[in-house]
Amino acid sequence: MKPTSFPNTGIRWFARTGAVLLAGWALAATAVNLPPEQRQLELDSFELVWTTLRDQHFDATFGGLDWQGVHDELRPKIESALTREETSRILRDLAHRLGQSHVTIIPAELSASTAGSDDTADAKGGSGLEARVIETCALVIKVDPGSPAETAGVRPGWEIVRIRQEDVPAQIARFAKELQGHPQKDLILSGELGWALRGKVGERLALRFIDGKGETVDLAAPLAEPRGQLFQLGHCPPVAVWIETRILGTNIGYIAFNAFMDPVRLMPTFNETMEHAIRDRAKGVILDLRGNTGGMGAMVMGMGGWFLNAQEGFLGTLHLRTNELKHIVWSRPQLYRGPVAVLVDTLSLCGSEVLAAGLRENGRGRIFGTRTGGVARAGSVMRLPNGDLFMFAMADFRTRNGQRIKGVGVTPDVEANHTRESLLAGRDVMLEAALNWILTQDNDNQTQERK
Amino acid sequence: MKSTRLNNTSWMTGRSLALVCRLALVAGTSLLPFYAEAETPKLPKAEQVLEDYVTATGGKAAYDRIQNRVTKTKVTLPAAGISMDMTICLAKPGKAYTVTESPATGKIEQGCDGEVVWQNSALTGPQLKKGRERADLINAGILDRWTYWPSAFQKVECVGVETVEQRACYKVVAQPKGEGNAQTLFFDQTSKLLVKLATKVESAMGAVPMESYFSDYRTVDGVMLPHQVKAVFSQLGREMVSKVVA
Repeated sequence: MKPTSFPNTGIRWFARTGAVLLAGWALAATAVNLPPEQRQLELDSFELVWTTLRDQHFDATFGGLDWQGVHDELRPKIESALTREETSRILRDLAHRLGQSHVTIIPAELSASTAGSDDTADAKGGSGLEARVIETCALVIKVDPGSPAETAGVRPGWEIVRIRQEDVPAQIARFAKELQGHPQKDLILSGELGWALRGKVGERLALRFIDGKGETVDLAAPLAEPRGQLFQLGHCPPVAVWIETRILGTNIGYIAFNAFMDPVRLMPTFNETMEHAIRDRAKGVILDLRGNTGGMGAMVMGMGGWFLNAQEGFLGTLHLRTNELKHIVWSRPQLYRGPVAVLVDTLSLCGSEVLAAGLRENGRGRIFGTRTGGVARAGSVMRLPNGDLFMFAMADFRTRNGQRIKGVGVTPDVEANHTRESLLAGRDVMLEAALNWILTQDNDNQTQERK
Repeated sequence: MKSTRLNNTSWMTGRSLALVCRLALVAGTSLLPFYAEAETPKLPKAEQVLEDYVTATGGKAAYDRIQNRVTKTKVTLPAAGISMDMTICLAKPGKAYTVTESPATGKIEQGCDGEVVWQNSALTGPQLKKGRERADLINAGILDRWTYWPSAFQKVECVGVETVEQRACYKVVAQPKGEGNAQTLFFDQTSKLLVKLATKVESAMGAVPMESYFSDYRTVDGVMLPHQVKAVFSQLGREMVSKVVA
């Protein structure tokens, strides 16, 4: 039930974005023969998934797949499946045949989790450290204040060499080889690393590091509740959401948050910060979307409206199968027109990519960091008759200039990435690049009335 | 038509929030008009169908006595497990105010004085509605628009008979004044009640087709009102159900 190894495909990782707890997939693998009623529910679920994709998937060609053929191949298999584990595997096979992000099955045993319940505890705990695979190393890039990791003395720049019993460099090498040439290799590696670092709250997660002096450090700090507050949207599993705002240097606004979720809590904070930036004529604003996994499109539209006039531009277009919808912004009465720097990295996904690319293509943002994950789509989730959650992509997204982000990601204007040395020196080179740019910009006319 | 307004608001909230949803296929009925038309060669005038509806639901005098209405509803996306509380206030002439609240959206207010249509929330900030979206919301805010349809529509026409949920219905196309979207209404031939409305829902993002199904009519203040509305957005695979709770 613990994420003790890296899966070898991106698909499995995508299923976890949005705080889907596939790490505990074994929960669903109960080998009990299906009673007739359950079998019917599994069959009904199979048909619903297949039909929904047939009728709603944005790509009517199914990427060249013979969709009826897929049905005819898998239907007999699910009819003869003996266990819930088998039917679940077949359902996932059906969804994954499209090879698309945002198309997956989340087993009922995991999706039934609700905020605050014990069921979510299996994978929500963390040490309070954030890590990325950079080059071939798993590096700590951030340690949350007051977290178990900080208490234990972990510092940015330390290399993670063992998680539980897993040899991390060996795993990275193996999967990097398997993923050679895969456009989303970095996303998959860093994403899996993040999940491998999670576990049950209270669990003593055995970690081995190489510290700044090259010494081996073993830690087994108990995992704590994740940073932020749990937010649950409908049937979706809960997500811990946080936002952080502050003033940097001489009057530069800084906003970081980890998901476009929990608008009731996040939007007032975001709005208040932007009101301050306008009132105080901030020299610039930095949107730190590193590690932001996306979420609700409405929040992207609402936040984008602080920087972009809806009469002048839009973020992109959602391509449904038979329609197109503009991904607009909701412009505020007074807009911030000063320099906007957007920080992204390989775990900036979906809404983060839409906002970053949208601001840039409208001349309202400059992007710093590393290429994003490349999973911008409009997804939808439904509960299946058997209790599983079914996520599917109802629209593809293209930027204002017609660029597809899926599978490609958003390439920064200024590429900057951490190194072990920079992290050990306490530097954030992405943030530094953004700050330096802002300080060179013309800071007149920072505000504009909405047209 | 309160229900239309309710669905408009829900739609904007639901879609733009990228709320999770479920598939709900809309049963096609394209062949039915031909069959039905063959059986009903002479159609009534749309004016008569509307008058029958007003009469069946309480009569013009009852509608005239109503100056305002406050309706509390629970809007759900059943498959996604999302629900919102919505309060709809309508007052003559053409004034409307709705407030929607849920953990997913926070508080969203929308208002109309018959001319200006606005919306405000932490998500969007204050916004003025424009174009067809504005026109549709103004139209939906007219409390007695079927009693005095010429105040809201430039033309109504009965164009055929269709079966909706096993009921033979007159199909009436109503073209709003101004730039609003046409509304296709389906009135049960037997009960005279409005059972379905098909239109496009506009927002700044674009337009999507919506079909609303009205049921559970109950009498309130002397007129019968649908207490349940199911809105189907087939392009989005989304279905929302609104139930009156007070």
